[in-house]
Amino acid sequence: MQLKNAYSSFFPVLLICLFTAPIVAQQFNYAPNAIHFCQVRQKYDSSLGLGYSFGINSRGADWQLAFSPVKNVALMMNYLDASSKQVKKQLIEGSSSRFAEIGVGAYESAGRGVASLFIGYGQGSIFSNYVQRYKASFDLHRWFIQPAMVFESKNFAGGLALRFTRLAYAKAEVDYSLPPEDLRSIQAIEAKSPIFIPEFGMHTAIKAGHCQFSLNVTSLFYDANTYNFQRLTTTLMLTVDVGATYQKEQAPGVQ
Amino acid sequence: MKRLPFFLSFFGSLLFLGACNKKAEFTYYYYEAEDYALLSQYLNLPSLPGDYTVTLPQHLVNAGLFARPVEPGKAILGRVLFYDKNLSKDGKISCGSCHKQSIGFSDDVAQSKGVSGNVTDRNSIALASVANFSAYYGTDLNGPGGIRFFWDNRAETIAQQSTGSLENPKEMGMHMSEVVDAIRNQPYYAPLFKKAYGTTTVDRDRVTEAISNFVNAMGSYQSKFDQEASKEQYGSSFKNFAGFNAEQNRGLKIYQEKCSSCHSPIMGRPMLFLANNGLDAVTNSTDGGVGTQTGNSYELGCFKVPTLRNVALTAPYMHDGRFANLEEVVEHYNSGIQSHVNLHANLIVNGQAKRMNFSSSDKTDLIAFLNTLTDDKFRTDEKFADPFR
Repeated sequence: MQLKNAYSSFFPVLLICLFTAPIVAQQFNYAPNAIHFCQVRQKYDSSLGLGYSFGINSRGADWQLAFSPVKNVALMMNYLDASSKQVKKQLIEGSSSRFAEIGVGAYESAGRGVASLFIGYGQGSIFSNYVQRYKASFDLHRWFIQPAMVFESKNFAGGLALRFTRLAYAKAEVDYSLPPEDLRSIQAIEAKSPIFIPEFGMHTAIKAGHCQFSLNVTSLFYDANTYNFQRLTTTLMLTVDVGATYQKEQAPGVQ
Repeated sequence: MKRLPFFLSFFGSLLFLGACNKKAEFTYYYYEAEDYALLSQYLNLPSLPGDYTVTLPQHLVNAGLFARPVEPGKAILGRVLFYDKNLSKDGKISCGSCHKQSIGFSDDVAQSKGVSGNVTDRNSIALASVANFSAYYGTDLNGPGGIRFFWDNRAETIAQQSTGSLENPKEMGMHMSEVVDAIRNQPYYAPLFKKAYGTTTVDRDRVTEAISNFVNAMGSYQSKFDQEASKEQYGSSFKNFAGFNAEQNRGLKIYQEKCSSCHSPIMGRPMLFLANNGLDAVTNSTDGGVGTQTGNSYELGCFKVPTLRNVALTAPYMHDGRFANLEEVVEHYNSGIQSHVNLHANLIVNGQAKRMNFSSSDKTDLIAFLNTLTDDKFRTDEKFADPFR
């Protein structure tokens, strides 16, 4: 009984710790959004997800929208806002990131699995505030190809995905007074951009009716230290199967 | 429809790989635009600071020497302070007046001109005689073993040294409070202090710290000697360098045997803090050197032992500039050492002042070697040059 109580109190405590944990390293030059595990299975399926993303140096909101206009084809939209007004106002040190992207892809459902392949493009910006109010800002573009697999049962879902990312820093304004190691990482990005980054995503979810509560982990397979990229983003997400809800409310006949 | 994934893969790959390959446009700025416009009215400073990182060559690192990091904003401010004649009583003298970059930050006269027609008591020490000040100078950075400043070692830190020169009535003749006022009166200092310290506040500590950063950013370690010595991974004394000609290598050998026990075999930290090198048989009544400062009779007639980097550029020589050229210096050690009561033991043989007994070719070879210590990159490096328009 005591063990059971310990387990039941472990997860809430863990969540509180995650939400309130202090940010260790303060600035980043790229933080991946959560890989979108598209789970549409048929025409007019759609889903809306709202997540809380956190990495070692960022916290933010992650939005994901998916819709299948025709059978086997889906559209996705993702938006990550890991910003802090305090950073933007230069009141604290840190980075603020906003990123939006759209994608189109094909999916095939078979039994309990859904395989998908998406391509997409997005744009975003990152603003970083450093000691003594030194600043750096970037406009970045991202292309991606993302193959993914999701398996689901009545109550659980899980998936794996790769996202091959081509990250292009279109424009940057950088204060040369930045701490040397930060300046070096930005100069390394300038020399290397566009940068090809393989990203790996893992997804586990608990389903409850038309909702699912998921844990997404997105990780870079790249030299994150040299470029001051955030290597890992973890996202807690609530996803609503909007299409299913909608279809249930509609008269039969809609396919 | 089953072909859709393949179509997407193909199309996506094309999009992915062929996506706009436009080069990133990175803009770096250091000063705010209006600040740089103001600075540019008075100063010829680059829009981005130079690299003030000092990376000592391997043979100096092997000897345990390393340079302390310098803050670029403070080094740039220090550079402007170093060359600013407004910081002297008559507005005609700056630190750079007596420490000229082209001649190893030394002066080409025995006693330099100070304010109001005065001349300095001693010869201007060549700042470029040192590989890097932070590596072995100053008790603040190097503890009690840190080499002190001035010919008589009276200053423990660069801050004390620079204050001494600014306030010396024969040099720049300004009290530090006047220096601070003079800085406040110059419009170009506000943006420089802001970059260095985050605020425009001027005080004496900031002034001397900035000068310290500039001086500590100086690094003369790219001479021909350094190029060759750095190839010797574990050497602390050298025999022959492949890049030297025969004359230079013979000179190197003579230097190692006859001179390095005082001046450092690797041109790093001098082996002696101070010494009497037999310039006079009797202590000069007006300048007793270290002994006058400390009151120790055994240090009378003793002066700082410098390292010899850029020595070919820094004539005249000795604390009083008595020798006009290297030939005269070599001849002094060859035949002119005087038997002073405090003459250093390295210069005594059988109770008598040592005679090196150089041959004519020895002298030529030794001077040929000393010429390999010239660091042309350092003496022409823009980031250490006079920035005033």
